[in-house]
Parts: sequence; structure tokens; C-alpha cells
Amino acid sequence: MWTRRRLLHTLPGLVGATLAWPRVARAATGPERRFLFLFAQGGWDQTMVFAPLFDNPYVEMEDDAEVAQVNGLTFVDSPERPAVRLFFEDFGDQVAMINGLEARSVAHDTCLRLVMTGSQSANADDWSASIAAHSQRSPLMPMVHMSGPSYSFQHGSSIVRVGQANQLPKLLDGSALDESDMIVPATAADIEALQDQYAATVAHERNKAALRGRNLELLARGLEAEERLALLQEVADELDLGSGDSLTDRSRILIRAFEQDLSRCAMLGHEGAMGLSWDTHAANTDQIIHYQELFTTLSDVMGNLRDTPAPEGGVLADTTTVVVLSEMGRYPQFNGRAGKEHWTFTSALIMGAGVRGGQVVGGYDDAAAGQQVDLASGEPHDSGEFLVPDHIGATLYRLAGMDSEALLPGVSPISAVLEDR
Amino acid sequence: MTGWLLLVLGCPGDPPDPPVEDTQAWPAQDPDFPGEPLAAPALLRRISLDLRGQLPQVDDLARVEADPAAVDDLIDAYLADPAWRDRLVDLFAEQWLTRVDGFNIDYTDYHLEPALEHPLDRAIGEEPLRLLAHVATEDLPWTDAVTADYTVAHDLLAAVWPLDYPAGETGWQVARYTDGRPAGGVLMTNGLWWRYYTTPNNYNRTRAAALARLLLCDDYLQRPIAFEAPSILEREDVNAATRELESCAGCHSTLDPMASALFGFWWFDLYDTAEMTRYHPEREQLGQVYLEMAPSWYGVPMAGPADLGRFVAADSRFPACTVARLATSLWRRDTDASDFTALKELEDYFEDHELRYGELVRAVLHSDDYRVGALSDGATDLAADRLVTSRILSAEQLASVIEQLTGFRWTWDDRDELANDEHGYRILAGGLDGIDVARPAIHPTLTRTLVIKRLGQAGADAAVRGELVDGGERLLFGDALTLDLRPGDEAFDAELTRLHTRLFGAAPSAERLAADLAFWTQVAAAADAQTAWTSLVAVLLRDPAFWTY
Repeated sequence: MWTRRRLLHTLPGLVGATLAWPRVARAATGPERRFLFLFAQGGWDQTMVFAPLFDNPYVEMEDDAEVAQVNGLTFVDSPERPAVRLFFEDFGDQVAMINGLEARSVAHDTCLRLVMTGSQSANADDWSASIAAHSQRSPLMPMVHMSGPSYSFQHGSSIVRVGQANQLPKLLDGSALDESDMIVPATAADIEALQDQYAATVAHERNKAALRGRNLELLARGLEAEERLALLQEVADELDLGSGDSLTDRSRILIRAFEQDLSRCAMLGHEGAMGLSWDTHAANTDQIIHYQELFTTLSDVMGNLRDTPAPEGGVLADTTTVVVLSEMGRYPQFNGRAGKEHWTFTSALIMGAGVRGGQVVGGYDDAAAGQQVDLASGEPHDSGEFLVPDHIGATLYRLAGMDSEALLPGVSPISAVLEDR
Repeated sequence: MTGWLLLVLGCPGDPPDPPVEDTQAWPAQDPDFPGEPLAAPALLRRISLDLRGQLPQVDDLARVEADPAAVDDLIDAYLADPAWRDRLVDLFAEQWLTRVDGFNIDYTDYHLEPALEHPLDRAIGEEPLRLLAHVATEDLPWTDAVTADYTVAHDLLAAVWPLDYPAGETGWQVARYTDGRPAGGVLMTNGLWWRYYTTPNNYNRTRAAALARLLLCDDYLQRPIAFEAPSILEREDVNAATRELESCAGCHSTLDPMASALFGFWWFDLYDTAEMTRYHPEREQLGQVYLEMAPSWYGVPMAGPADLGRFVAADSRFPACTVARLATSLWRRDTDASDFTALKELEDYFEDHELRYGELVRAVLHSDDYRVGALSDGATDLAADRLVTSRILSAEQLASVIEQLTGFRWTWDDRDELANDEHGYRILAGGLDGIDVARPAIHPTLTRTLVIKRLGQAGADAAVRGELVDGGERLLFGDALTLDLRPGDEAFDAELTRLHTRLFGAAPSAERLAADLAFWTQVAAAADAQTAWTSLVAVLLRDPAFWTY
């Protein structure tokens, strides 16, 4: 029930309802792990990096590709996408590659939701929203959604969406209203400041009058949103959420948000090089440039995390886990348009803080389907479990210091991935 | 200023306002219900926002305050208002999720001008919703939603789809497909199956699952199954598995025969304009080839797709699901097993009234869960978590209310900015895109607060400039207000009180009035009276009492 006592635990900033809230809250607890999600939207071809199924007669591999091993990882290497090898050479020891993950559908929207939430329910919050909402530190933007999939319901107020056309920066600086068929004159800065101040007062007064239940919850969250907004407007210029077009540029904005201790989680979608989409029903060779761009960015991300100071001391790499997903894989054989159809089995990468790197977890069988996996060792084993998105969720929850059993009853994390088992 | 809101919202010790008395034979209300109903003016505000997306007029608020039974008269009036149809489309959109930003076929495939990109997408997504709203608002039996031999189409669709659309008309009209598809209401609309499409090798199973979920509340994807994935690279292997493995057959034994009835909508190519635009009667029997299943409805054979709507209409889960979905829409929460009695009574009422949707709406509007405005003193924590005593305006409601009050609709290049996400602010405002975000926001968020701020600024400017500067029609302000008036003038103070009543459904406390006047004076000193009114209205539109109801 929403009572003032519960508010003290869930919305720490509202204690005393001060606009100085997030900074006060930050001082109260130690560092907690951050999560950066990158999502290859459309379904990547697992046989181009993760699944070296060269000896499988059912699987059509590329002619110029070959098996390679770097830093404990076995992968598909090709001279056409050198960024993959470079990434594994530089950071492979931090990477757990998970193979044979079954999305359990072959429809994009279904798979996206399944991979990010483990469920088809419209009420499910995704891994990132859930982790963000469970932050003990209540950062200004618990989860920044730059692009890519994002599912939330109960934890929707933890998510700050930038918008697929960078709408948030335009809303923040007011230029959004320049794009209106009915002309709207800009509000002078000093007048807007007066409006903001009085609106905050009004929200504060309304909140004080509420007693319990939903009335209190809405007013409290409304006040919280006003306070967060006021603080975001203070840092918006420095954060520059609208800058940059490339995947790498956008990832750097998110790392900046981590650096400034503004966020715990962030999601960045990748629609393929030049936006050509990973959904290669035709011209599957497009995946080459998609992987090249994705792994170039991954190297940049991991390098930046290594070099960027963390607000609590040390560097961001100490506390940041990077998760790379795609909603599905691609059918092991070509269709008549040199493309590949959908395949429910896919791969994932989890790397960085808290992750035992330099290992491949799971695998693909003779029919390119996922194999059962011993979750403790990560090795394929007949008595193990078939990997599904819930295993990813449980693993991420454990990395986030959350009670994965309470959130996903009966689902074990892939403990092989966890540095601290 | 502390405490001024207590006067607005009522002190805990004050005697409660008399609740609205019911005089008709609505479904029984629970004497142990752990909540208190809204007072009549607040109830009218909620009903008006839910049925019309608009605030009630001040006169109507006064009327129901004097005579709470007058709420029923106003419900009748609201249900006869054209705005109800649009509002119903919004409510259906929250559950049918067809109002998406893009489909596999777009304006370029029909060689239309770029300006029609968004209107075309919108028309496609709304086709099934408009048909549902037509059946509901025309007081037709709800079974027509799945049996009608017509659709409701926009003239944009009529220009590119095989439709017999009334000559000389524009906008949404009853129309008939001319491509040989059988009668079946929403089940035979392109708009539904363009949203819930199937990959060629999934053979309509996705659609069958959507059909069962939307119309029967039978969600195959929520069934607790455990299965080991077989290695499946060939269609024959898939079909064998769905029949022979117990864990698969549990769903597929009923799902696949339903899917088999949908092959007239089955496309060999997901992006081919001709394939997707037309229904394919010649393919109706292909399910027996690809799925190796004849059409049937949970074990009862169907002759073909022409039977589909009739079987849905005859299924006892159909009215039950309709009731549950409407309750979810108007109670603003999911229903569950503990609602069984209330839902069953509503279902009985619906059936007693020949499945007329309007009657069902009236009954839900009289339910405890709809009218609740506060928790009872002894309400348990469970009840407190469950009862939606207050709601937030949806993105669509925000857009329509601001337009009603100020004349401002946020469009850019004629695209509704609160109805799209490619350029606009629908999700940021708490709305849903039907794909990634499938439920409207239930809590205020930072971005929603920011959208309201900008929307409020724009609306306030439109109202003040249009009404007080340019002398246009008074939508927001009373006739007596001019920019020459100052705080302390009787007409000025009266207008402020009227604004509060108009926006929040209640007059302000003296403290709040004083605070507003002080703010107005501060801004006027920094700028001028026009800016002061613009700023004050902008803040009023950010007030939680405005965006909650």
C-alpha cells in the first residue's frame, strides 16, 4: 500500500520533498553495478560470429570465414569484419558468449518482448527497467532509453525515453514547440523559471494533502517527476542528449550519463549499419557491415568504460556490465533471395563488471538448435537446461545484486557467467 | 500556503459529500466494498473525461452538485456525443494495439504523396477499432463486431483497398470489401491482420493466438507449458511435433484449426502490396495442406472462414471477455479472479440487455470500482494497492482536453504529435505505440511531465492570445475577463475561481487563490498581464489536480 512510510523506501528523494534530493540520496549508499544494453534489432546471423558450425551439413556458412580462438572464445572470423577479431583480442577476456539461447518465437515483436522480459505479457517490465527501478541510489534517470526495445509497466516511471527522433532534448529546451502548425512563441527563460518554481510548489502542496493509496502514489510520483525534471534541465546542456548520429556517438552519451552518476541502466538499439536492419531476409551479406559497426562500437564502449572515471572512484569499467542481445537468430540456410529467414535460437554477450570472461556458454547442436547447458560450468550437458531469456534475466538480476529467485521463481542464473558465484 | 489544498480536497473530519444515488437496477454493489465513492462533481469529471476526453462544463458540475442523480442524464448525453466514438476508439486501441506507427506496406507502395504517410498508417490501424466503435455506438448487438458483413473505412483506405465506399463521402464510413472475403466483422479487416501478421512459415498461428486473446481472453502465450525444443528444420517435423508432443498439442490442437480458417489472409510475401491488400478466397483451404488441419473451433468443425465470426459470437467466453476488457479500460486496472462476482453480474446484465455495448458501459460506470475515489477507513493494504481511486490522463485525453480548453492541438505538418512516436511525443506523454509500449503509463513520468509542461505552455498561449488579445471565441475564459482587470477586481477573482472549477472540478481554497494571485502579480511585474495569464494557465495545466481524475 502507498503510505508515507513506503514512500520513504521507494522514493527516497521525497523525504522532505527537497529539490536537492538526488545528491542527498547518492551519498547514502555505495556504488552499485551499472548496465549498458546494446540491442541488434532485427535478428543477427549467429553463424557469422557466435556459431562456428562449419561441419554441419544443414548450416550454410560463409566461404571466406573460419574458426578462430582468441582469449578463450571460439568464434567465426572473417577478414571482411576485422572489428570482431580486434574486439575479442582486446576485450575477449571480459566477455561471456552465450550460445543456443531460445527466444521461443520467430515473430519480431514477440521475440523482442520475450528476450527482454522473458514473458509475452504486456504488463512485464524488462530486465533493464526492473534493474533501474531497484536501484538503491535513485539516480536522476534510473534507466535511459536512447533507442531499441524497452518494455515497462509497473516501473515505467524509472525510464527516461529520449525518443526515436531525439524528442527529449527538444522538449527540454523548448524547441519542440517550434515544430507546431499553430505558432507558439517561446517562453522567456526568466518567466519559465517562475512557472517551474510555482508548478513545483503546487505539486508539493498537492502531495502534502494526499493521505494513502493511489491518490498518494500519483501525487508523490508527480512531485518526483517535477523534481527530476528540474534537475535534468540543469544538466541537460552538459549531457547533450541529442548530440551525435552514430552508434558510437550515442553510446558515448550514455557513458557520460554513467560518469555523471545520472543513470544506472541504459539501452541503445542498433538497426544495422546505415539503418539497413539486421532483418536480412534478402542480402544476408549486409550482416557483415552490421557486425563490423557493432563490434567497432563495442570496442569503443569497453575502451571508454576503462578510461572514464567513475563518480564513486575508480573507473566505470569496475562497475559497468555490458549486455548485447538480438531478438532472434537467422535460419541456418539461405532462401531464394540470398537472405535468411528467422530462427528462434540466438546468442548473447555479457561482459564487463562481475562477469567471468573468456568463455563460451552453451552451444548449438547438429540441427543448429540450442543445447542443454550445465549452468554451473557453462558447458553443454544432457542433464542441463535449455537456455531461455529468463536465464539471462536471472543472471542480470544476480549481477545487479537483486534477489533473482524472488523476481523469477524457479529460474536459475547462469552461474558460470558470474565472477562472484 | 501550507494546508490550502486541504480545503480544496476536503479535510478528513469533514462530512463527506453525498454520493450519487442509484435509482436503476444496476448490478448489485458490494456492501463491504473497501472504498468511498467520488462526490458527484468529481464523478462527473471522471465520466466526462472517460467518455468524451473532455472536461464537464461548469454549469453541469453545479447541476450534479445540486442533484447527484443528474449524473445519469449527463451520461446519456455523453454517450450520444460524437466524441464518445473517438474516445471509444482510443480505449479499444489500448487493448487491440493496432494503432502502430508503421506497417509492412506504406504510402510509397500505393504511390501516395508523403503527406499521407501518417494519415494512412493511422487509418489502417484504426479500421478494426472504428468498426468496433460503430457497433458499440450504433446500439447494435455486440456480436455484430465479429459477424458484420461490412467494415468501417476511411476514404484514404477506400482509395487503395478493394472497398465499396459510399460515393461523395469522406472520413470514416461503413463500407464493404469487394474481394470476396466472407462476413466476419473485425475478423475480416485488413487493419487487424496487418498488425497481427504471420511469417509465411508460421501459418497464421500468431493470428489465431491474437484472436483468442482479444476476443475470448484466452491467451495461449500465458499457458504454463514446459517443453523441450526438438530440432526442427522442416515443416513436416513442426506439424508432427504440434500433434504428437503432448506439451505442444495442448495448445496447437485448438490453435492450429483456428489458424486454418485464416488462410484467405495468408501471404506468400510479407512485403508485397497486392498480396497484402486483397483477401485470397482461393487460399482458404490451404490450411489443410500447410497445417494438415481442417478449420475447427475448439473441436467443433467449421466449414471455413465464413463460420469463424459466428463461432466467436456463440462462444460464452466472448461476452465475458468483452465485459472484462471494458472493466479493465474503465477501472484502469487488470481484472483477476477476485473480480469474478462483479464481472459475472456485469456479464449477466450485458446479456439481459441483448449485448448492447452502451448498456454495458452504463453498468460499468455504476460499479463500485469505477466510482471509487478514496479508501474506506478500514481498507486493507491489499485493497489500497488494488483500488484505482485516482487515474492519470492518457496521452489522448491530454490532447483532447487541451484542445477543448484552448483550441490548441499539437500538430506538425498536420501530423498529430501526441499520436505518433516517429516524430511526436506519444510514448513520452505516457501513451502506447502498440509494439514496444503496450500499456498506457499508470504513473507520472519525467517525460510525461515535460510534455504536459510544453503542452500547457502552448495551450495557455493559444487561449490567452486567441481569447484575450485577438477577441476570439471564449473556450477557456469567461466573458467578463479582460487584460485590463487586476487582482482584487471582482471579475478577476471570480474568473480565477471559475478556472479552478472548470479545470479541477472544485473551487480553490482561499490560500490557493491567494497563491495564484501572487504568482500572477509576480509575472505581470516581470512582463505584462498577457504573460501573467499565460503563465498562470500554463501552471494550472501542470497542476496534479488537472492531470488526475
